[in-house]
Amino acid sequence: MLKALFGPKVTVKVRILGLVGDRMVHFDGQICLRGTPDVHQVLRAAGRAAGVDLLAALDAGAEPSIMLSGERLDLPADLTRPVPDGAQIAWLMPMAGG
Amino acid sequence: MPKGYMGKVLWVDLTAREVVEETLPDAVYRDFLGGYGLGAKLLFDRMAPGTDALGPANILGFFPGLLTGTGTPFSGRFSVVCKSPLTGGWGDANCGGFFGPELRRCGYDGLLITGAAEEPTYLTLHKGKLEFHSAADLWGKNAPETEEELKHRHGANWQVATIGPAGENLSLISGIVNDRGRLAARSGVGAVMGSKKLKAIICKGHMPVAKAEVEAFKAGTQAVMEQMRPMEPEVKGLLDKILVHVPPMASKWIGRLGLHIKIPHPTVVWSMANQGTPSLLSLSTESGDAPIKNWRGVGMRDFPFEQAKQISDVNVTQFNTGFYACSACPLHCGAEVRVDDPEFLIRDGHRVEYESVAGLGANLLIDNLKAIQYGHHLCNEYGLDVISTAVVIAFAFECYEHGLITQEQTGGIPLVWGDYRAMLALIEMIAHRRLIGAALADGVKRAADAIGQGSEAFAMHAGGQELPFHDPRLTPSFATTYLTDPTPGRHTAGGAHALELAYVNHPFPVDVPKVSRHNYAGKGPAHAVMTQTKQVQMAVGLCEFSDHVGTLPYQVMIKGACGWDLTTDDLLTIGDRIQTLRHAFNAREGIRPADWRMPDRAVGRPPLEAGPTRGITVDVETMARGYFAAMSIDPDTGRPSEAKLRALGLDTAADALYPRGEAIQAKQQLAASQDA
Repeated sequence: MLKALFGPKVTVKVRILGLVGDRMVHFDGQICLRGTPDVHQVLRAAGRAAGVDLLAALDAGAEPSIMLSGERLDLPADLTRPVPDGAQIAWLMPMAGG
Repeated sequence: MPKGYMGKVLWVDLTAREVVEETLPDAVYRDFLGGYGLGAKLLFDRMAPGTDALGPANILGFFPGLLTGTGTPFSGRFSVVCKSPLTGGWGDANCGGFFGPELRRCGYDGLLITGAAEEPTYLTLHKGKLEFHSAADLWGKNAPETEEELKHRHGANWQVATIGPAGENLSLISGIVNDRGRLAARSGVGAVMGSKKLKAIICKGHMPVAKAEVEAFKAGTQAVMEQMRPMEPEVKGLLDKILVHVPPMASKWIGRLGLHIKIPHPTVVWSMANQGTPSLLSLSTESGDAPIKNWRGVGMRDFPFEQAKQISDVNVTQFNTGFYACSACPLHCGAEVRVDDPEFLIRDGHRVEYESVAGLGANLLIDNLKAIQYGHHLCNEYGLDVISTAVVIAFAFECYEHGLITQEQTGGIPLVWGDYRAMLALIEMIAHRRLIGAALADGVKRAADAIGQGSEAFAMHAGGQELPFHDPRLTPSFATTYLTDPTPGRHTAGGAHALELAYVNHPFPVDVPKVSRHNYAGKGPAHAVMTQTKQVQMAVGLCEFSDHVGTLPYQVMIKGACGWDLTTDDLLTIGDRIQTLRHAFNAREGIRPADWRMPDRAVGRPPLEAGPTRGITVDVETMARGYFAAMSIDPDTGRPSEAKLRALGLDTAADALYPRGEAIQAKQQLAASQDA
């Protein structure tokens, strides 16, 4: 708990593309957390930054490709995986049209 | 009494220059609705098996949907049907614009062309009168020029469907063009029209499509518009700026402060209305949906996000001069464009679509949007299917890389990945059958057969038709759709892929078993149901982008137009009937699904070594078997079971596909099962 408040700063680049719920999201930015965040915590913070709830979308059955610095994660197993400083997390929701 | 359809079709024999009007029983409409449903019924019944697809006996049919011309939202679609010269089986292509509704307002639910003219010909249709005209002076003109000339001759409010030089030159990847650049592109329908020396059909309607129950019709239309309303781009300009610029800047602070703010995200409808289908490209290259470098590459590595954004998102709007909507469409996903750069000069064209930025861009590693826009425009002018054209160009690039195509065959032009000049030059060669373009104009399968030397591995097709740019390694059921649909290699055909994507809207309310992307077993029933819903959508003439709005009140709309009370089960049965008949058409032609296979690299054989689809191999065989089982179709021969054919009332097909002894036995089985 205290680590989350006073631990070392961790910066994570975030890319969220595609539908989350009924919203079309195209978010490219970065977030800062404290301590040693895991994928679950990063997704929560990333969703806040983008104005959507990624964890709720997962609970609702969404099957995005989630990439950690270019490596595809297996969910839910990798939700507890630590995210290092400088990593990039991408939430890519498959869509097709046209 | 008004009944929502015209009740008749028009047959035109180009050889004898004869015209026959045929009245169809109401039951045919109840069973097949319209669009390619009606087309499947008439072509199966009237065309002999083994017909030469480029011979005079092939029937080329134009079929507006059941709701086309009624004013129902999204109902501007029509289908072109024939025996496909590309696949040798059932062929269809679908298109929007204004031609379909106009044809229907001429008083016909379908126009069927047989025979072949001796000289280039065009047809005019107005007030029940069809006339033959010489097209000698139009032959060789591109599609928009032809349309412009014909409208100059006959009037600006006539609608034109024409072929360009590619169709005249019998390119098997050519389509039929209306509205100066919208194509009924697939299945080689342009070559069939060219083989008949039919340059164009132009028509001007004179009568409305009368609705059976006007109040119900209004209710259906209103319900659709109510669903649209929250998604409409009311603050288009401002929202656009916010979405494009603010989140990246603000996110750093938002994240740092841990705030949860509500950022105004657009809906898919908003996105489509503003940026059209190409808005999805950067997502698609990043997610693994868009194939890269002829399906060998990885977007994140070989065509990175910043590069993809150059030909995607808001960038695709930079040449816009205005928005474009098909007849009765509240979405307007199209746009008109102008490019003043002399190298890529476009005075008046249609904006790129997803398939063109993916195919002429990402898959060739080209990030020059002007060049891609120009390539897209050239395809529209020449009447080339941009999907198939882009696939054969990627194939040519890879052949060149391996020394299987030389500069002698390209007029001295090196075919190098990322070189837009090579892409543009190949489009010209294909349309005019020059140099290597002569082989490429026949599609990637035939080109690979001609070149040989292992080039077959580079030929991305299913059943002879080029694959569109949606990757089954990300969305596995696309493989099933590409491989099993009677018109293979189509992303717009129905299937469980829609359930694996982010949006799960069914055209009309229906229960579909849940599927998971990479669980391959047990998907057959869901795939079958989704194909059935799609048949209904095609047959009524609704655009599939209406799915973005949500599940729509099909029953109400059909009741309003035709007065029929149809249940969901009725609609699914109709969809099943249409799909089964399209399969039966192929089976009668001797096409065996067992002979078709997906290209190895499209299903991850071997799997990619990086990216979102790293390590994935798609078990398409299991999924295909599941679909065929759910449809009661023999996976080897492609024959629907006789019991099923008869249960659906497809006795002509049953009689054609089953010898007499088998037929009697199957009838007895059916009777016994019904008794039980």
